[in-house]
Amino acid sequence: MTISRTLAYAVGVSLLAPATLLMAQGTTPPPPAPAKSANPVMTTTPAAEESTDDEAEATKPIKAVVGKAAPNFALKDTKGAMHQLSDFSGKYVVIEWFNPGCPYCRAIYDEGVVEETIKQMKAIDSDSVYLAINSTANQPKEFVITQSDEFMTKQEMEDIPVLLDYDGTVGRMYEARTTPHMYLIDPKGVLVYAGAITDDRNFDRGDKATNYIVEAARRSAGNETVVPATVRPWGCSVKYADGGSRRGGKRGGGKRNP
Amino acid sequence: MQLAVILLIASCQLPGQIIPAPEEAPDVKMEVEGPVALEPGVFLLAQGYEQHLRCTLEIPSGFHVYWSNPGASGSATEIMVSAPAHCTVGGTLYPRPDTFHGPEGDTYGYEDEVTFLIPITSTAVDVFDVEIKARWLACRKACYMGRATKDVQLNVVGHVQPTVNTELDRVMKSIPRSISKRPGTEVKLEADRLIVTGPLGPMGMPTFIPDYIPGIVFGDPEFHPDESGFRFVLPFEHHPQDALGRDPIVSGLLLEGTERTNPAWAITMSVPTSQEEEVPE
Repeated sequence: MTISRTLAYAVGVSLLAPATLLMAQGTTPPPPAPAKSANPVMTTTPAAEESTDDEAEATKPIKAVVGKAAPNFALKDTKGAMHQLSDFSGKYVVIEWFNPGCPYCRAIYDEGVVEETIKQMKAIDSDSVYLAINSTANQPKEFVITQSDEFMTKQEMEDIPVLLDYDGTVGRMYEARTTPHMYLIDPKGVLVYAGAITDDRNFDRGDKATNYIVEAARRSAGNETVVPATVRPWGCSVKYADGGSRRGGKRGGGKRNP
Repeated sequence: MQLAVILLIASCQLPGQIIPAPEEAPDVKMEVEGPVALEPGVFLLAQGYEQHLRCTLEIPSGFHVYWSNPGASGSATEIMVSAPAHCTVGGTLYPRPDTFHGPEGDTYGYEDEVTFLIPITSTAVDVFDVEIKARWLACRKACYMGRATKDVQLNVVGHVQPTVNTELDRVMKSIPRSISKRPGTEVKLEADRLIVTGPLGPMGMPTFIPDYIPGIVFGDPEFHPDESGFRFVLPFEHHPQDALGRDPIVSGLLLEGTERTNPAWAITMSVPTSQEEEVPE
């Protein structure tokens, strides 16, 4: 099992995106997190050799864990500019997994939730940063870029860079499942919150809705324990390149289900 | 001339520059039926008895909507009912869902058609309107939010008993039953593990899909055959700081077979809490 996982990861590493390779080459400044956990590139043991538990541990893909240093990443945005998480050391960073083709993603902009989040975050940390990451890969890349840019322009939110993660490397590192799936990283580079943006997925609670990102930032800035630190996100699935499949037997017989 | 047109079209569709046409939003149809239909949208109810309205969604091919726990992504289908004060409306009964594999994890829901049951009891003899609203997220290649509203009229009469309703019986078979009704089956919590033991049914080893309870994080379930049939072990962690004020409960469905009418058993166990597990205010 360990060997097969190692082999799988070895294959995976060979397919990593240019953004990840950039980090592998050590061309980037140190991230806010400790270098060991911040670099998503994995070292692998040749499959033919016996692996010790430590070696097996070393081959595990880096995953973002709430309460731990946020793994660094470097991605180009839709305009071609490179963004590294480590560039924002000392600031709160909000990351939204984004897909303008998803009605929930559109709704958090249409309903002003994103705008309010940015406003509230600026009140907590005037240097705070809001990033959108688009891992959508069920459409041609050119379409993803165009759609993202057109959406942000229409929303008058061009200041939010849309980072392209077409091969899903960063999405998998952060285990992003939905659009939107939100993350908050504190100025020390620690991932302090992951999950839903609010508790109002139907957008009918107005001011009574809890904005989990803002609440987490308030608590973090006040040196309080971030509670909750994880809330299940709602929204569409992230449209990763490898798609999905149905499990379970197809119901047979007539049109109507029993 | 024709060649020129063909070349012009071809030049506009270079590989990688094709912008796909947006997928059509699915036309999910909603119907509401009651115990006894007097005419379309008008139903007879017996005073003082819990009966059921049936809310059916017809889902276009390839799309699915979600169970009460959508799983790794998605959004639960919701049914909301507005009725007079003398009318008690119970929680929506969700049929056994199908499981869908995705790169982000498993999701749970329904394809083709699904009927939800709405328990309703009127203590008064009356004629009144009930409004049923449904909200869903329908996904295929892309996802679409949808909603629909139906008004039905209920005529509540006294001194009668509910009649046998074969359509209701048919739908009821898809609604999970309490695990306490599964013969010879024991459910218990041991520290941070849910353990279910019982005889194997004709469909072999069961499977399990979890419910979502804030603050409860499940590990990987294990099924083992043993001398009594099967032993199911589900490890879990309780994170009170993420409970959003909810009581800790371990719940989900134990499923036999793969069809919607195959047995599905609902498990709900309260997790004992200790005083040390105080959540910061």
